[in-house]
Amino acid sequence: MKYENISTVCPYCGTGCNFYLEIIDGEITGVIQNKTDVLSQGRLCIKGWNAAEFVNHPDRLTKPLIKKDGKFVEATWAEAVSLVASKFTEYIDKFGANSLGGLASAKVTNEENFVFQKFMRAVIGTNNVDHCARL
Amino acid sequence: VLSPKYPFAKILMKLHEKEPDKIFGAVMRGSEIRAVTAQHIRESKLNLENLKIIGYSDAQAEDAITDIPFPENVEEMFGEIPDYDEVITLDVKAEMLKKMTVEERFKYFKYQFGKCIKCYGCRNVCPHCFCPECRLEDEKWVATGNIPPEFPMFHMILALHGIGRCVGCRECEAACPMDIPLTTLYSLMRSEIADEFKFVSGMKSDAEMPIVTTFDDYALKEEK
Repeated sequence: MKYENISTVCPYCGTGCNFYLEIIDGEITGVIQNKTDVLSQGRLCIKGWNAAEFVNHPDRLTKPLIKKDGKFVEATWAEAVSLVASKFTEYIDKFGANSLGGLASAKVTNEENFVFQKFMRAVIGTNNVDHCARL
Repeated sequence: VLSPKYPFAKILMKLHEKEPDKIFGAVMRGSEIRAVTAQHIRESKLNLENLKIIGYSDAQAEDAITDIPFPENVEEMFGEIPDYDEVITLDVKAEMLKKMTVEERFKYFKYQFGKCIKCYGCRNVCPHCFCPECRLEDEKWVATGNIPPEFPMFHMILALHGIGRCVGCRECEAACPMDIPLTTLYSLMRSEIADEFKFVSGMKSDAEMPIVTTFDDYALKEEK
């Protein structure tokens, strides 16, 4: 049996509290506060305490779903991405680039969010970008 | 790293549950040893025979007060045990509260618990909280969707579950984002238990908990 504590940043909001993930034999089992962290000082909110719960949750989507005849059907990433791309082009041609907007996630890294806003501005051609951690 | 403290007894319980037959060696602070000893007495969540405890204390540490009283069931001991007179060390706020009237105390705690954001941090770090179904998450006991949680249900459930169990590790207060003086309330409770039953939670591995055992005798004594 191997027990590890891996330091990470809370994915939920822009505060950026640090905490440790408890890992037993490679599986995340819980969260422990980081008392030396200057931001949280070892005091987490309810979201921080449960920040690891979604990782192995049975309801978590691991494959893209495409709605066909009113029902969501599992699809490959290639199918999903080409569908989104074709819809984007369709709407840009029909209504202009400002008819689209992008909402980014706090659960991805800073760099990924940078790429996302760059994509919205440079590729789609709109400034409609926002982020869920903009508290 | 032993200072600052982490909910070590809780981690140990988790590992013990996973590997019940393995023997663990652990370097622990005073409050953590009391916590595992109390668990051993209570629900056999931890078997002390499978645990080799090395005691550690640092008189200079900020949380050194929690090491007192230091249990004796350790294999080895290093560090310096802080020198305090009282068996149960009350804090400044508890001394202040003792001088207040019941109404004033009620008002004080009503204000303090009104700050609660219901993060369950105190429950998460408490070495005595491990029930698979927590009362605090049960709609029958605590209404959902209220912040602060209904006074006094939420905090009274937590406090009452700590009577005769609380070892005074002060992890709950350290984890509280709203600075609620939980240890003030619990240290008052612990001193009551110590006065009435001559019992300090986690000090003896063969002791029985007063709230489970002595309570009947105590009630009979009162009737006579």
